[in-house]
Amino acid sequence: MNCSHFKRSLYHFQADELPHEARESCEEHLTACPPCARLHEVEAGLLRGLKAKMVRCEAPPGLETRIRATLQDAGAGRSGSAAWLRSPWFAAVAASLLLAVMVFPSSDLYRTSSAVRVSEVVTLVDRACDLAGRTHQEQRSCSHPKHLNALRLANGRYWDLSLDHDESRQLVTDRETRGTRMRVEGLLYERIHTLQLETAEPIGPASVRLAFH
Amino acid sequence: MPEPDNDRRKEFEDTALEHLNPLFNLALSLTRNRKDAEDLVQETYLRAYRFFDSYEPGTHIKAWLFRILRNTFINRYRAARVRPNEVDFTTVEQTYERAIDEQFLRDHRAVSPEDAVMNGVLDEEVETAISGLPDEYRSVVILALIENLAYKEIASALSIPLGTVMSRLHRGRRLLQAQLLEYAKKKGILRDT
Repeated sequence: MNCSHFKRSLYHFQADELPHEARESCEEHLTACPPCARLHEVEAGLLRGLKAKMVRCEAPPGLETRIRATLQDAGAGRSGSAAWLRSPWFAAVAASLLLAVMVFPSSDLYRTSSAVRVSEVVTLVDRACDLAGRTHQEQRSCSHPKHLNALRLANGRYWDLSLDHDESRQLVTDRETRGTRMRVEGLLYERIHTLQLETAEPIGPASVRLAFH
Repeated sequence: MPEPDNDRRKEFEDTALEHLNPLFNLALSLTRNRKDAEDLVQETYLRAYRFFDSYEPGTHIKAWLFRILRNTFINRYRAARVRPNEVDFTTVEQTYERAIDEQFLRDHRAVSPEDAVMNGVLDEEVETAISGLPDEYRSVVILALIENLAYKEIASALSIPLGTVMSRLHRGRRLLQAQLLEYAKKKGILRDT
């Protein structure tokens, strides 16, 4: 090992991240080369000083309590969803519901369910990938045929979009819209977590143009 | 008899909440704003909880939480960023090497490098220096030097290749140390060359 090679490896040597053989070569070079030994000593001293000065900022009091409360809420929400999912007739009902919405977009399915008018800032995501922790960029590359877009709220919950407008179909299926933040308004059918969209306005530098008006 | 969801939540809280401070620290360094950092950490825990079934017990949970936090940050804030910080690293490298040579290598001064940092730099100045690092270096530096994560764990937490971790840490350290030497020089701990 020469001095130039040693200098390139120095930080990784100090971090104990070199393979065994490379580490041994560095140690041999250090015993034979006083200038490199001095450089190692200087850099190690600077690193010790730096690490001693780098303090971790503590989370503010109250944050943990808020997180616990959020998790409790999410757990309650999840219990509801889990009960649906565990139910033996869930798949059949869900399939019928989706079919009915697609075939009869203005059907009484919505009218018979109570709705509230909402106006929310949401993010359009591929729900399955989003739950799996994928970034929006990664979600845009996901072409899984069964993955549909949904609206993610600030509290982490999701709303589906009704398919009763051609424009909302674009939002449900277009991969390029994933990650778009927007303010949406419409009627929320709480029982089926579905938003009948009336307006959608992109927020900030939108990566896509929404066709919905 | 306890509810299964309560058990699940308790297990998650017991496992994940002990890493609140490291997560907040990284969140703060990314957002540079305490309120945004709190929101980011809260959302990270919520997402981690929803996805807890996929976590493999025994694997590095801190790296897993860091990864969720980093992805959440990218999703929430990347669109708002105007442009990434740009650094002329060649100039920094040359200046740093010259400073090390002049201050410590050419002649052995009474002040050691460690003392130069400990006595010549205020804690707030270190915070400012860290905060001035480009985003991509800052996370790696914090995970390596404060959280003591191994290169492999940093690569997993930030979803970047191992070689990228190595080069970012190298550059991040250089930028930080160069800045600290400047502070020490201004206070007269190191000579003005």
